[in-house]
Amino acid sequence: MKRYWRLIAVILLVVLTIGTFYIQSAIAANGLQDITVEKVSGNEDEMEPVTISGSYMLGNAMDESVQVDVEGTTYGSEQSFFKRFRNGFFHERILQLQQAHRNFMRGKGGSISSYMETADTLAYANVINQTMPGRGEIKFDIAVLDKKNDETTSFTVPVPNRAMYAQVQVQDVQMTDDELHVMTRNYPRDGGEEAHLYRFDIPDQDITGDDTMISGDIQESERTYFNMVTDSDETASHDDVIFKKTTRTSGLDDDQNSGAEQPAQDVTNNYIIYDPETEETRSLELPESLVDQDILDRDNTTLYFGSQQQIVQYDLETEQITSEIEVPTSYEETEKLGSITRIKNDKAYMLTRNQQAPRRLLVLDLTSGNTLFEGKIKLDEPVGQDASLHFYELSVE
Amino acid sequence: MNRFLKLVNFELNRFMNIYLVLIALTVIVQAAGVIVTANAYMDKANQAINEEMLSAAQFIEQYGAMSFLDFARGLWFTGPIAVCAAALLFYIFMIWYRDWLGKNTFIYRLLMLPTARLNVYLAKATSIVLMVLGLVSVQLIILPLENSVLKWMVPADFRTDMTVGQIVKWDYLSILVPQSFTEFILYYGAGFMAVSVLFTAILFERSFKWKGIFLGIGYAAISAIIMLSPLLATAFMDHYYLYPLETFGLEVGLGLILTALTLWMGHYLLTKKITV
Repeated sequence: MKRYWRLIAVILLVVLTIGTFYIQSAIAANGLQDITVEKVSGNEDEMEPVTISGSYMLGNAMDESVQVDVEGTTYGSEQSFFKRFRNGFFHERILQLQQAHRNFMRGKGGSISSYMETADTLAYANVINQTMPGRGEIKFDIAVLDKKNDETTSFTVPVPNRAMYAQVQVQDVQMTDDELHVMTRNYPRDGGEEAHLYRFDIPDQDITGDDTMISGDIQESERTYFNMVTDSDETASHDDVIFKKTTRTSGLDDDQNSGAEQPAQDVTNNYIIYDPETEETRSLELPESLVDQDILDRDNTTLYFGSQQQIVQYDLETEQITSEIEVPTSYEETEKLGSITRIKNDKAYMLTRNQQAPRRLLVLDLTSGNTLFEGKIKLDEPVGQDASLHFYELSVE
Repeated sequence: MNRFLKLVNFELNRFMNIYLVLIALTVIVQAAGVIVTANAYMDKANQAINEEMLSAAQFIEQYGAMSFLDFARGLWFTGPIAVCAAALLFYIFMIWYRDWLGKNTFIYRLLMLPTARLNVYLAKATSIVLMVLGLVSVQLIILPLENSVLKWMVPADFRTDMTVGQIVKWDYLSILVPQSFTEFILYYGAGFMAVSVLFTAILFERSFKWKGIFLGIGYAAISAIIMLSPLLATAFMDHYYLYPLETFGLEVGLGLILTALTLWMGHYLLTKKITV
């Protein structure tokens, strides 16, 4: 025994120290805050479908992901290794799709905008081979699952005029009968941006159309940008495509004297609507008061505009404002970070993000305008000097 | 088993002096480092408060509060860890080559021992792993002590406190001390595999001399390609069909097979091909 003392000493040192460390970190409190939504008024059941995601930073080194829902607070490090490994690579919604359609989802990547789900169809479109240079031609990777008979159609097609584009990003996928529509944002090699709609015939497994819906332009005195107005539920189905087009006119190139005195700029916004069926583009004639407001969300029939004071619903069919709802004054205006609003099932879920003031969560009924629930984000103790808690996502089941 | 333990103990003995020096170096340099870093911060704070007339709160706003990571990022902390890592990496080679060096080649006696030659191989690998874990343990023991010294030297207003659990999540420390025990087993299992691949590469060189160098490098390269093959597949195939947990299972499987193959190859070289 005595002859082995060195071996015994090293083994004891290792087993005791490392053992104690892992046992202790398994049972001891991890020093992370418990975050809860404290009820101010209304019905707590309205919190049920809400999940708030964010990150908790300590110093500038530690960054913990955190999720708050009705059950309480979950930190990233509290999850088991296997759970983190399984979930870490994908968007929450894609994970749900993977669980529901394990075979179909196999080998499919992309962001959540590559998917569309309805009661009987799950469609996927992505542009592959463009992240690694020299991988060969960029092409569309298309797959459609017919949920009723569990049949999958999948094929790949080269992107038309692919040599022209530096990059092609899928922004949305829609489907009508047997035709799949893939909305993309293309970046031509010679600059600018274009929004395309590619049509695919699913039974024939072929591409049938390529329409340019809108294009952006940068000139010396005028810049035009466009952004697709997206639904916060990115897998939802829509009949038409809506763009917000912004034109900036200025005397000087403002990149060169940013920070310094800005030349007077004229910013004009307008909304463009594209109907895939008629292949027609037209301007949306919005009331003056709405044009410069932020769009909060959209669904198939309605655009939701909002400010800190009110939420306005605009019907796309009749092109009329259908309702204006006042936001309670307790939901105060916050600084630049603004707030996050999600609209689901005729309810608006709003979260302020100002780190200084106590953050508030609000659930509004969009038909009656009543406040269904109002809550205050509550921490065990105030966030310390070097720490920060930042929320970046509000999701509603 | 008894023979094996004897060999491990023997290998530990042979490196014990240098090993103790490494431990002492770590403890002394890091202890000095905490004191120097904390003093430097407090000097700066005092200077700013007395000469530039800043209040304590203004100073913290400008320069940030002191946390353990300010020390952990510095050379005082990382230096000894790097020296220990380099020393053990070097010793992975020396644990074999020292037996061939010198007047009376010691390997001759080692291989003549009345025990399976694989035991010699395994004892060397085990002692390397034990020594690595030993150094990690020493670091885990002195971390809370250093943390206390910091708290003792810097007033509470000027610092952000971190627990040891939070400190080890930082950067490379999270590789040395993984977050969960599962990851601990995985990381150090991979470490053991890497050590055994290097050992077998060394034995290739010892068996075939010049030609063996290329065989050894080739063996290590093939091992790396095998382990990276799922990653290469994602880069070179249109579709990568496996889910993350399946890839994980595949990697664990590949790792176990490769380790077994490497040990068998080491055993084969030691018994059949080695030249003294």
